[in-house]
Amino acid sequence: MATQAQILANQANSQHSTGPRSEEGKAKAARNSTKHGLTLGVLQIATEERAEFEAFDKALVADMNPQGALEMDAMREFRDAAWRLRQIRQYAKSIFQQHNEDPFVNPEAQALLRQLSRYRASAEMSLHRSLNTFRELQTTRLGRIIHLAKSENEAIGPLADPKVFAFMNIEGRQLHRIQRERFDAHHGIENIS
Amino acid sequence: MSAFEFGRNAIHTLESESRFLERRDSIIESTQPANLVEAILTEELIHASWELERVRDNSDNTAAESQLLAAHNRASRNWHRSFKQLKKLQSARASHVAQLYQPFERRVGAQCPLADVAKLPKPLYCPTNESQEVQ
Repeated sequence: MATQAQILANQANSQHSTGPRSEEGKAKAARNSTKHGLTLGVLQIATEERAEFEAFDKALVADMNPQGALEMDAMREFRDAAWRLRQIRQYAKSIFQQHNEDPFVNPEAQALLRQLSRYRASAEMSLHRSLNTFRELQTTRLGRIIHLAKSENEAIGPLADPKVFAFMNIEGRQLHRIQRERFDAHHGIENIS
Repeated sequence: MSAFEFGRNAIHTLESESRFLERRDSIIESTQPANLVEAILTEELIHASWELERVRDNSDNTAAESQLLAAHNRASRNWHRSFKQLKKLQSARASHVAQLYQPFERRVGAQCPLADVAKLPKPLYCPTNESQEVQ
């Protein structure tokens, strides 16, 4: 049995063992009990999958051509959701392989899959929502390139719906971009703001 | 899209593998994904379709009734959502081909590959067709 002095010494020593202090250490400790990494807020990529993930990211950037922080955010959310769905399927497959029968038949596997379904629903929602937002952003950007005159660049915010500015009523006439740019050149207008 | 490994991690037994592969190939044939985004949605469609099939295969398992119902609802929702999304994407891709004729239009269209040209106000007035006037 420990003496009073030993108990006091242990208590004093324990004050020095308060866990990791650096941000890196805290992040590492947060992953101590990770089984599949799906409960964590951020996407966890295994070291052996890092190269594949980077190639996936590169291919998506090439296909989607995100410009600016908002399109980049939406693209990354889409990328992460797609990767997370892949991880969920990997994990579900490993449960299937452990039990060697369809998880619908095995009660133990069923319980594990029930947990997964929440993560899956969340990732599926994120996948579709981010893609919708991304497409909306690109449609707006294309509308701006096609329909906005140079002089209107500052006055009309980048998220404005192109329907609002495609044709403007100037001196009683509906003018398209080319006509407005001619009008601006004729009147020496450089910036309407 | 040959580099994309469709149907990876699908749950199937040795007996059901050929059925799965047949279904997978048939879905790819039906969607013909032209880029990675379309491939990702096709992958969703493949897994949702196969999960619905697995639910049907296990429909006489009364012990797992609630699990099967939940799986059916989830897979059905994902199937329809992915299908709609894929249809919208392919329509948007078609709108680039059908509505951006001039070199300038093609060039700016390529800068926004997922934009839906059909949603933009018409007509599109670009430098090369400036002779057109608003009616």
